[in-house]
Amino acid sequence: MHAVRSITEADVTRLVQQHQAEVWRYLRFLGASAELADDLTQEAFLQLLRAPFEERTPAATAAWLRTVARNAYVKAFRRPPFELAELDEIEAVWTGFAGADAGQQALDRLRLCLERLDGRARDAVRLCYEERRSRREIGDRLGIGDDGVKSLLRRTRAVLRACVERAEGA
Amino acid sequence: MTDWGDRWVDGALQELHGSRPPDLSARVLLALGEPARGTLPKLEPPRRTVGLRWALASAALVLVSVLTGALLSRSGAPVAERVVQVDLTVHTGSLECVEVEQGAVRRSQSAAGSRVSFAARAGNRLLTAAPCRFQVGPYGELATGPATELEVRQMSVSWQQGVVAASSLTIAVVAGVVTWHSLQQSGTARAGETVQLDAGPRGEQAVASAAEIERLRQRVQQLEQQNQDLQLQATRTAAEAPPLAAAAVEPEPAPAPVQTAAVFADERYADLLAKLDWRTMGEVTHEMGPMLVDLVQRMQETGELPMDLAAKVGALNMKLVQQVPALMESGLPGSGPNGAYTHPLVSANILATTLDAAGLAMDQGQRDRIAGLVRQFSIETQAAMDSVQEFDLQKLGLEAETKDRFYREVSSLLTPEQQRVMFPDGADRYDGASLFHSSLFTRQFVDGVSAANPAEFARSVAGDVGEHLGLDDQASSQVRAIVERLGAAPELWQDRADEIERGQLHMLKRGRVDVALRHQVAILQEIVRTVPMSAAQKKKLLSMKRIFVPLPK
Repeated sequence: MHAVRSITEADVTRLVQQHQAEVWRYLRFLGASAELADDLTQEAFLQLLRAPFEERTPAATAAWLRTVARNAYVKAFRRPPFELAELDEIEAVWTGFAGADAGQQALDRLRLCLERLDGRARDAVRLCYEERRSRREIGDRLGIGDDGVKSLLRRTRAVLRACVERAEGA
Repeated sequence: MTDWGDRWVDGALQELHGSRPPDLSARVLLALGEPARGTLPKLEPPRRTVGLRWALASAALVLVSVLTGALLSRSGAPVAERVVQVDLTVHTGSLECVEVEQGAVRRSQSAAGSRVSFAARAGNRLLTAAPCRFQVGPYGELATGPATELEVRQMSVSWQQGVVAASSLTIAVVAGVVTWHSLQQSGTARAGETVQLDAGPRGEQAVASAAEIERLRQRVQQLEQQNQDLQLQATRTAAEAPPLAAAAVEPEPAPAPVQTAAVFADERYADLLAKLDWRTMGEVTHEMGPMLVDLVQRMQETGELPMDLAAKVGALNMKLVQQVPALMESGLPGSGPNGAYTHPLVSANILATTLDAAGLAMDQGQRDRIAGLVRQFSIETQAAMDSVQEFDLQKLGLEAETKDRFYREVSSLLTPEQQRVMFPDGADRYDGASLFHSSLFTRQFVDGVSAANPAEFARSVAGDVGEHLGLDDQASSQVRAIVERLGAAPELWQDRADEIERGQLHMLKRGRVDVALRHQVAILQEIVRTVPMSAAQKKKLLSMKRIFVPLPK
């Protein structure tokens, strides 16, 4: 049984601030641009708040918001951006990283793992994510081709992922 | 198949490098409707039929007198989408009606003071190129912003024994913004939203009365405030008055009542609003705005600071500075004393009295719309101050961006004459030359660094940062290398600093600080990531609020 009542500004602010980071990160994880993630996160909250307000558990609210956000994201495309069969895997990967704190702990671990990177892997991450260089520019700097940059970045991300997971298990 | 683990790492890396979740609370509040205390107002979806509420109340309602045209159908049941002629009375501005009639489009323009009949048929539109305020039959008063387009979505009418018992009009905001006031509700809607206007239970007179009641309520508030101010003044005068001379002195005529009450209210800061001398602040701002532009122009012409004008500006500025203690005590969010001074609530009230001083007072429609902006941007400013950012400088940037957006939006609601008072010609060229710009508070954090190239800039900045954080030589060298590398962006060096920027007033060209701030955040991120520091040093760096701006020689 859920309590239904009128919602106040304080409720809105509390709910948005409690869940916005997770919804936004989830949309970015699905592949949304930052701008689209902003819009769809807002849309998800509007759907939640425009309905008769039900006080749910934080986990239930987060799950509800993720579902609405995911549906809105899928609707933004003429063809689904991922296979429906992948949904279980998507949820499993997301909940694995997000945990109970919207992924903050995993992000902190990633930051530590990043500090341990060196050599070309570190340069590639800096050029790609910090300086927002194109693959060609990164390739020019590192003396490798486009495909080489792509492989290097993918390998580096795999190393980082393994590092985060190891830290999680530690 | 997508590698979702890789996707997560990719997103997380982007977040660690700046693409962070925003604080959307203000945006969501705004989208939900006009922010208000307590229960939020709702823009209800158009009704298909007239509700039970109206059916019960119908016996007492007679609105036929305000509907000048004939209804096409007079069945006893509620009728939707019938063509009803509604009287529009234009109070201020100009209103264009676009009506479709037997396949032809008819356009008519109505100026202030005119009264026209408008077919409230679905699809018919009302357009205002500039701000306009008009009464829509019994439904209430609408105030539109510039470039606003409204479209009739639905007209619902119910009949009882041959007369109109109740009606509601649903309009969609196609573009722009509209604020409405009716007996039951008032609020603001923006493009994409719909507004349902219900005729009040006592018809047009009741709605007119509601508007009148609202005006009277505001007037009572103003008079109460005025009374309080005068009482306060009288108390101070009595306390400070010298002993009376023995000889009777003819009393001087009492000064005319002074309007000092704030135009835009916020009960959380009622004490502050009552303490400040808005009239003086407006008069000073009106006088000082063009003087600042003149000051810059004369410095450009002569290369020297015109001392006579600088003295006048200084004297006027002292009058504003006298308000600072009250601002500091008020608890208004903002960075430093000028942060509170540039808070939307304060800025809007200063603007109102500045326009009064210029003889170009805001009309009621402008006040209503700006009041909405003040509420919205007060929330956004608070959100900016409360936001979780890696560096305090990022908060500063967010606060500045929010306030400049507020100034732009307020300005868009003013007439061209009023805009020139707010932003005198030339006030947008240098930071500090406008009294309605974020540079008013960011300037106190700016360090202009005169340098011939990034290496020279890096030497100076690294020295300051190293000293501030207490870094050793090796760490300072690392900082220097980072500043030199990331501070070499062409946009920082393409525009040589001119006389004004290098002069005594340190007024930098508009935009220079924004660019420098953006690059400095990247520099700080790199320093945090790569330079070994103690926890205390890192804390100092995260909370550092100095913006180093290269001034290319």
